[in-house]
Amino acid sequence: MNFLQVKNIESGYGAKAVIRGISFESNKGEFIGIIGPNGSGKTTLLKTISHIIKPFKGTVLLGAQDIHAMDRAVLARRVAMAGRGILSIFSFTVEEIVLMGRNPYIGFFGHEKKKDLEKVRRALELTGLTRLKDKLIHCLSAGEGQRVLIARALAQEPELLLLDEPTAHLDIGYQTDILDLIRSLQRESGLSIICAMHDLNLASQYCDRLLLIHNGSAVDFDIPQCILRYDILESVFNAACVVDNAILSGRPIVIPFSRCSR
Amino acid sequence: MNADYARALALLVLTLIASVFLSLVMGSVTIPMGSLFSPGMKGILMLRIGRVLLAVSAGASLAVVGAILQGLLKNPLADPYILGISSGSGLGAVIAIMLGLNIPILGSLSIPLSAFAFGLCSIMFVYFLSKKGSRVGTEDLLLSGVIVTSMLSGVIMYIVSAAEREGLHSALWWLLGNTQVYDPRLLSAVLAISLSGIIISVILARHLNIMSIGEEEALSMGLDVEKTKIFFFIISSVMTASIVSVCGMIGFVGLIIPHIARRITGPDHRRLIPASALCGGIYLVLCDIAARRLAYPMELPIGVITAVCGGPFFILLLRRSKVPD
Repeated sequence: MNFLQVKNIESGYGAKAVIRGISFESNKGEFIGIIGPNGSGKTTLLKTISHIIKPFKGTVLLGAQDIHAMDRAVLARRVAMAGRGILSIFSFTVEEIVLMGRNPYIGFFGHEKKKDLEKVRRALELTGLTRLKDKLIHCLSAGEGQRVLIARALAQEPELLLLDEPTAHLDIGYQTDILDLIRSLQRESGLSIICAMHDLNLASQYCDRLLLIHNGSAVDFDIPQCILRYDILESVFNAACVVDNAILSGRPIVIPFSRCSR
Repeated sequence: MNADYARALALLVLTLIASVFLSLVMGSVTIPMGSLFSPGMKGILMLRIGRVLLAVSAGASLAVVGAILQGLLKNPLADPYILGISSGSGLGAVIAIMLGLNIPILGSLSIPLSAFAFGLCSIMFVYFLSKKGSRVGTEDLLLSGVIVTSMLSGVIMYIVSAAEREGLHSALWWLLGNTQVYDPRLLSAVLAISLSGIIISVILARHLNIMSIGEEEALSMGLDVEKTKIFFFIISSVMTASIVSVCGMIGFVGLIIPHIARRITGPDHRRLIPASALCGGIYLVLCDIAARRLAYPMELPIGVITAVCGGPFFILLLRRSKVPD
């Protein structure tokens, strides 16, 4: 049985469907990238898988269980989401934010125990934030902020980690830094990853399989070599590009190409 | 609990105790500590004890509700009155005063009970106005709260403007807020509600941290967001309604005290709520002393003092530290 099965999902906000008929499945420990143009429904798909929103149609199965029928706290112990940034009007410390990730293990009227603080310490250590734990989140750089979100998700001790464009607005150093962190978590702890990404080359280098979506529907779901083809990219992104192979990894690299003559 | 927080909390508790004693000594007439506890002064002492207890619980409750709503609604301008309780209670009280309402069994409790009932009705109205399906959006809550407040305030203005002289004075006095205790049953009810409200809020404060980050994030961390909202909504409504129906509209405490407390403890609501309660209690007790002393032999409405003293103090505080809080 597959670890995660997304079956024929139709989902959106209010009465408006943003994604339609999306299906894919993932094995345990796999790193899956979701790529697609702006507004194609990547975030909506992640929100549906994490039960932030309920789908209009279709099911998401984790093992044999329907995610949208599970108790929220039980689900949050298995699936964690790191969103796009911390939007808080209050300046919490890094440690306070990461501690929030322990919520699904603490009862409604309960409070955190020694074990929870231990898990927070471990999550900070894994993400290299131990030194910054007392720093205010408003004083962090974008890369550090992204680490905090990942640390908080790790404090939930999930089997599946969902990430929404974790490398947006980061320079190439921070990009590889964050994705290497995610990959090491995947390899060492057997964490399954589903990650929405904009940068096709990073997606190609890091992901085992890619789900390409366009206008709310899945175009294809396959290994990067089969998805990142110039004809597919041209029709989905409406951009001219050349696809080559990276020398070291053998994975495709996408080079944008100007339509203007030189 | 770290040492800084423990020290700050201890300091606040000591300050509160000191201000309570100051308030017992400095009523409208100063009675030296030595003779305050003599048998002849028992009557005055009891009155002053009742009054200072009401001031402490009103200040503490309003500050705690302010802190709760600022976190829950993710809005630093939220205060206990923003969801329409005060105008509802105000209308209830003004109607009771104007009609000379004196329900036989209730007697002098008619006005506060009418205010309490109207306050809860108005907040329920606000709640159902903003409910869409099974969700209650925080922006919708704020918006309908503001709308209901201005509508009811209009009605209050009209009733007060059409009132006879005598009714006008008592209605205005009520609207401006005061801490006079005229019924021990009311005092004990307010004390019980404030104390239990504060205790429950401290226990649930963890959820406010998560809610203040954003509802979607809270959902992904497994928090039952709607249940949390309803819990805090009920706690803050009952606390605010009970204070407003006994003390009238004491403004500003619920808005500024949480900000001041946040400067002491940081934004973590598990620390912020106890600190807000203590700061609110201290502030209102001191304002109450000022209300009795400043224009002696007249007593000033305490709501005027809280606003007039609190405003400049708050601005000073904001200007002094330019770092983002």
